[in-house]
Amino acid sequence: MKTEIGLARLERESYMAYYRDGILDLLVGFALLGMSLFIMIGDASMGALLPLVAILLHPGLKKYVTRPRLGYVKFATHREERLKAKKGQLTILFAVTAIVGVAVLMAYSGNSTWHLWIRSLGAIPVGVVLAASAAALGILYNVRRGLTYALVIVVVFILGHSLRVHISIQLLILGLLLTMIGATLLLHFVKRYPKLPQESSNDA
Amino acid sequence: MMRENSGDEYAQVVVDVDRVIHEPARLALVAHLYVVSEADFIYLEQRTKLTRGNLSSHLRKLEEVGYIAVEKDFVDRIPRTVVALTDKGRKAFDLYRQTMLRFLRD
Repeated sequence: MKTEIGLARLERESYMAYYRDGILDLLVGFALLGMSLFIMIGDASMGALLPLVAILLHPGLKKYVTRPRLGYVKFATHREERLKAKKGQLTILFAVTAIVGVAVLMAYSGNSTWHLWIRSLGAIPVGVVLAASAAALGILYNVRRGLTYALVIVVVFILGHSLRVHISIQLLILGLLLTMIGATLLLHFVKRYPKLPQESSNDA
Repeated sequence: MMRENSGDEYAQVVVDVDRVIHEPARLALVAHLYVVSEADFIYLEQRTKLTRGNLSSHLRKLEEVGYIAVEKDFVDRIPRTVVALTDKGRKAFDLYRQTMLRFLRD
């Protein structure tokens, strides 16, 4: 049985190596820092575009940083199938999160009891939406960090609300945290998997 | 009598072990290929930490016995070697695992 545990671990390590490059953490960290900066200068709508920029940059950075160092691998069918099944469930989860997110933003303007209650929570609903997104990504890719980030986001936003810290500072703290974690992961990744010379036609 | 028989059986298990897979570098290679569908040369080089020459020669050996299938293509004009375990290789590794478990079990 130990052999099977060993192989299962080997498979998980091979899979996880692709997600321990810190690129996603860095991109999300920079996006949060940018959002914080835009809120500080009073242009929050520009900041809202930054997550989109991060999503667009992600595949390119993977191609130029991760792929040349770690090479190409296609994971076993069972993992691919599990990922496909999860993608369906998580698309629904993302859609619900997005709807809730929009509802939360809309709830900040208005004077009904519901609007007032939402406003009394300060930035906590925004934090919950961010945390749900982090958790969804973590579950989708089977990366436990996503769940930890979700927890940290909720804690930062609840503390921020209790201590009356402005949302830009809360985003700044989270951005710095994610950027630092991402940079550390990237450094470890680059050290562990140095860029190898390109394959020549004589290899293998 | 019983002891002699079990001793013979024990020796036979050792004799029957698949020597192609039993070599440590090839064992690492086959184990890595067993848990994925396919992987390229760089991936195997990074994960097994074998030198390029060693990796090439072990892959050639595994290909000769039909345990792996090797495909060469180009990605962005760079040559790429993609390796996958064949059904024969997968069965051989399963058998190797069973044999070693029988041999090493307490």
